[in-house]
Amino acid sequence: MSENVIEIKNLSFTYPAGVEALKDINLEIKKGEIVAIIGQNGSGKTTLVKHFNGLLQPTSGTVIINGKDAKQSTTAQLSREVGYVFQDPDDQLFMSKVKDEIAFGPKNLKMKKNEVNKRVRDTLKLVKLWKFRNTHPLDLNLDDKKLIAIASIIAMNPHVIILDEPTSGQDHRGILRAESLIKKLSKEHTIIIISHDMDLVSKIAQRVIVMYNSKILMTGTPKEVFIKTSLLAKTHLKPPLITQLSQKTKGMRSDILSIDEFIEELKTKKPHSSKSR
Amino acid sequence: MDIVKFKNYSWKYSETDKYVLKNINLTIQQGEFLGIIGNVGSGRSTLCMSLLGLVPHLFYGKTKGELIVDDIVVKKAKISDLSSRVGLVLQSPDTQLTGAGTNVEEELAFGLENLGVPRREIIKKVDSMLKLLNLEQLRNRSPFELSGGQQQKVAIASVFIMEPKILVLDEPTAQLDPLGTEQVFSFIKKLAKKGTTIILNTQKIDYIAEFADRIAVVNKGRVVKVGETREILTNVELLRRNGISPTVFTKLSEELIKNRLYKGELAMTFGDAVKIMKKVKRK
Amino acid sequence: MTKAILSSYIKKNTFIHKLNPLTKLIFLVAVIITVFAVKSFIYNLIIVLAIIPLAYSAKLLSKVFKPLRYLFIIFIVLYGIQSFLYPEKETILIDFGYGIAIWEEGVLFATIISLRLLAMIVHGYFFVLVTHPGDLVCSLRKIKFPYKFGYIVLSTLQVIPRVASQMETIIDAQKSRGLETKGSIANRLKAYSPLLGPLFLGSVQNVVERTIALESRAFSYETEKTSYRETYVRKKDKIIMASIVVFFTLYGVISWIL
Repeated sequence: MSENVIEIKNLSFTYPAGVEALKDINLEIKKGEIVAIIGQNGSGKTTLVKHFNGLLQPTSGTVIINGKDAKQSTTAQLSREVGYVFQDPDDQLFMSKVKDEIAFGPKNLKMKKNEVNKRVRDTLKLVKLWKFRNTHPLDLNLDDKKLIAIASIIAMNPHVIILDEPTSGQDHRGILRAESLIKKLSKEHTIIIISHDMDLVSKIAQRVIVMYNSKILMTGTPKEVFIKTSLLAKTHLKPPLITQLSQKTKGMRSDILSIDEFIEELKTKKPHSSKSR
Repeated sequence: MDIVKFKNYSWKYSETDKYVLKNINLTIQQGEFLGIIGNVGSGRSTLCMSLLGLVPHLFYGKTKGELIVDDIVVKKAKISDLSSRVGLVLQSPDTQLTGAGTNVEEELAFGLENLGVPRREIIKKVDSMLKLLNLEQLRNRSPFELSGGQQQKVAIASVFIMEPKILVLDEPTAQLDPLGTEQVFSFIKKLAKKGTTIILNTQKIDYIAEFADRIAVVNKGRVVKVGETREILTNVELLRRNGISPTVFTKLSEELIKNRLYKGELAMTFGDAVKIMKKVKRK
Repeated sequence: MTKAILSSYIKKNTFIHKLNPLTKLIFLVAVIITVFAVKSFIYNLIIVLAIIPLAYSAKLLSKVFKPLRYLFIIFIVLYGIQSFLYPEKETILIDFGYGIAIWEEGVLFATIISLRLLAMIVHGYFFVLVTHPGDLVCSLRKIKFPYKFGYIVLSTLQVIPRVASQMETIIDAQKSRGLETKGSIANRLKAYSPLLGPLFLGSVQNVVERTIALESRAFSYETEKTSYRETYVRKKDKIIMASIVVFFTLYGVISWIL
């Protein structure tokens, strides 16, 4: 029963200015799951995840984190369990050296000096940025800054890691790096990603939550979600390009998510024999 | 006519030792749509900024070689000489709005006021720009209340209304959601049809494949290669060597060929791929 | 989710709203000069109370006293200090013994200062409520105020809410990294010190980007600038401006004579 790390019941939230940002959300996230939340800006994604670590408190409804009502704890207390990596690294890097940046969280958790140092070393080695330990974080390029922001959360070893747009603005190499890091993390953590990058979502997520107009429009595996094109169109979202192509091609399955799968489907449908040789 | 000419152009910021732009040779034709692609940190943004003379007139550093924009030697000119010819929009919608206008129409009017255009003419131009770009329903809204996509459209329109000969867009959609991205790109497409020279720096290869005339590949401060869009984007070896991923359709057609399901040209756009799939099916 | 606040201007269709911003500015300046020139507190009280009919006619009576909430503490401190410690003390009002007492001169002095402060705040806020900042800048430009000054006023008004919301994001990021911002003052100070780094660097970056945006709009282009927004000084404005000057001069003179 207590498999759920996050349980949301009838959550509604209205900003003080009167904007109703979440309407009657019900959601359960299981331990070890990789969940992606998609939707246009303003659909309520960020507002929703800010409830997972207590940055926002529900106007009505309940948020249960690891069996405990989130209302009972401050964000700082919840940070042991839920780590939240913001979208813009410039908003979350505040120390003058990379190693101090990574140590910031563990120190707040009152870890012993040895433990803090160990965490800093392990995490920086994990993201392969140990060589930058004495650099000013804001002197790094965007891709590396994004990794440092993630690393600063990893060092606190929270059970749940929330990543807001981990690939935005990055180049090909940066995206690949972020992808493989998330895969690695998912072995020991529950991962929640907010993203506009449908390729990333289709590759990584086990479950996709589509938000629209402050509500959850649908949830399902990437395959289940990306075949519902008309429902997606309502939110101005489109499946990954390769999926769109499979949907446009007659006689093809409409839930193909990768090039490999695409080729596989072609091969099994029509054995190779008919072609040359 | 060549409207932009880089001749052995190099640039370094005064606080660093390495040159950010190295020995660039590039000419851009009037009215063409040039895409710039490359890695993070390849110098693409600096290239964009040099066109308005921000490099070397706003940032300090050292230039070598020559850059000529619309017959003006950038090194000797002032930014204000260039600003009536070159419009530049950066990625963050928030900072691309000047804050000089309390609503969208005033934001649009701001550049024209600075150029000293008579009020009557400004009114006419603002009206027709709002109509052309379907922004009429936003005219009395504060620019800061709009969505990112709308803000970026207003920022681009505010530059475009000044009728620059060259419009330089540096990652204009990097911070937008899919809807905003699509809106801004279709907006740019509309502007391109009006004959303005457009220089677009972006990571979004799928979009640039759809409408750039030519593409320049930039890596480590050098223009590695310039050519027709199709020539560049189907040159997978060139792209990979420079850390750029080909479009998913190029990669798919590569795999089709490898698996002997298809023979022929590599695909680049969605349209190409749809055509290829018809061939694959028929055999 | 901070809404872009364009100063506090509230759009209404009243006689006062429709006046030229310069007319309203002259009134505000006259009020400020007068409250400092006038020494009798009755006369200052009248000026403070004059806000009631003005705000009523501008349909803003419920809004105009809003900033007083924040002033309350200042008044308490002011009375607290001056009643006990005013240097020219002669008359004891209440004696607590041990040399501690409330002095009449101190209370009077605090009252005069408070009334001046009150008049400036209430009338100043009223001015902001009834004047569109765009119109203000436009009419200032018409009397040859520097163009750049106008831009700074307008853009600052629009940019402040952005900085505030960025600050909120940074604090959120720090809380998410286990920083306790509740509790003792020391805790809070500790929480806010790392804020300055990203906020400062972030705003430097924003300034650079906005400078580029401005350059791209030919801000430094040297020519006679034109204006899209238009404001007019009408006959009624001229009449009112003249009346303001005459009235407040007389008011000042009378307060000295009587």
